[in-house]
Amino acid sequence: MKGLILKDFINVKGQIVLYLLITVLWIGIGFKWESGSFFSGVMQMFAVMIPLTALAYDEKNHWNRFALTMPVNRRELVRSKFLFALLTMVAVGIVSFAGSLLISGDLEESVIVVLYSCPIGVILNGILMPVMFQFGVEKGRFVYIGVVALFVLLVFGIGTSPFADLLDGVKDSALFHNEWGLMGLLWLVAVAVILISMAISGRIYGKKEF
Amino acid sequence: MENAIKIKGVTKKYDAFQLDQVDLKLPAGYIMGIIGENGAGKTTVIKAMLGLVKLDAGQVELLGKPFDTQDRDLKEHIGVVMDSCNFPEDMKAKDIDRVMASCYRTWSSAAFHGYILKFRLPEDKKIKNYSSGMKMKLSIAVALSHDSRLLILDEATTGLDPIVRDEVLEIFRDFVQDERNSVFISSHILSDLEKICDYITFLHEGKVIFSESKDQLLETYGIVKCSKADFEAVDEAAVIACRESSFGVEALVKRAEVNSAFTIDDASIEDIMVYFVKEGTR
Repeated sequence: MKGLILKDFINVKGQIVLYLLITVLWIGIGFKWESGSFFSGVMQMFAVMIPLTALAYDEKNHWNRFALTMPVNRRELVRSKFLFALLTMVAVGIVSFAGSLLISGDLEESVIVVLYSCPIGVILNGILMPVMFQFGVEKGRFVYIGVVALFVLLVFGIGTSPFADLLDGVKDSALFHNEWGLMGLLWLVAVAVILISMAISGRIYGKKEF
Repeated sequence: MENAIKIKGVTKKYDAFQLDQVDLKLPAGYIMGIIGENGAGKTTVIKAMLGLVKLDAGQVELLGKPFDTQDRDLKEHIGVVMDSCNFPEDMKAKDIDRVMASCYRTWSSAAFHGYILKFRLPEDKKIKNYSSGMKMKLSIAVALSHDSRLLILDEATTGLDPIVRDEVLEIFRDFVQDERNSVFISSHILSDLEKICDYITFLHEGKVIFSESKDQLLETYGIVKCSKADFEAVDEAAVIACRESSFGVEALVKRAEVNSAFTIDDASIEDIMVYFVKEGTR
């Protein structure tokens, strides 16, 4: 498993300079808008894009077909991809926290912002991974664009719609006591989505022919 | 272990193609070449052997054991080389060493570095800067650097220049010097297979036309060239296929069934394959 993750890291390593440049750009935008939460939110795009890039490289190199001739089984291939995604999400979380802190200067706010945004990256990965395993990255990227567009619309839409007040009401209700309750629910949903996603992906890959 | 490969009744159906009741055996310690035109099913046979596709029927045994995709121990002893280099382009040889060491229990870094030196491959260059011959030699180095007893190669020499192909064939000859080792190779370059193979399997439209020892094939079949009138005297049952021209007739025949008065030239594996395909289309 370690070797498979190392291979993924080597695959995406060449793009790290580009990712860093974009990150600096977004920090700049975050400063302009005085919004650490904006920066943390958009960083979740990396949490999804980097694992998908690793999948794309594997497809390009026909790596999986070769890997299955080694003492590696299909479940391990799937698990290694999820583990790589998880490591990416942790790295993105750290960078998001650092960026938010830089922008806002507020430690508690930066922690909250990251804890709210990371489950979004987890959920997005959970939705997209089975799609990529089933249809491949070439076809699956249209789903990726659709999901990200929907997410952006949802975030901005909820913020400006009547639902914003409803959401604030729910958040402040006795049901959640405070902000942390809603965050806890978000993380529960994210964990559930990723576990279901792993199970579905394992089934899909188990039947796949190369 | 008697057979390195034993497949029986292997059938795989696709919409427009079917691998149909494929049987073949490769005795341990030998080299088998699988030949056939484009689309004959050679790669499908290899995928079927390695569990990359689900069979509709048949059994596969590799190195004396029924093949199970979960059998990690068996996979330690099988080295596979596909028709293209499957490693990420930004990897260097030392990165491959680290990745493979984590995938194979029997991986030997010392052996891998030995092959890198022997094949004169640059250790510090990324794979994207390798030539196609170097990429192929790298893939072979990987296949030889764990405890492989069976090498399976799919069009591994296609696209290589004659000098590199000769080097690669020499590697396979060396590999089978150890009688426990065997090689199964698919190729279009029949002259290569004729140089090193002990057994030849001919696949045509998903069916095995023959799977025999190369020496047996070359002893059994020959080419008769004569006039149309003289050709009338050749027993039809002895003729696999014939080709008529203004100069006369050329036919692939079974030597033993043709009158000794006829001059029978040697047939190459390519001749045998082409005539068998012709026979099928007649």
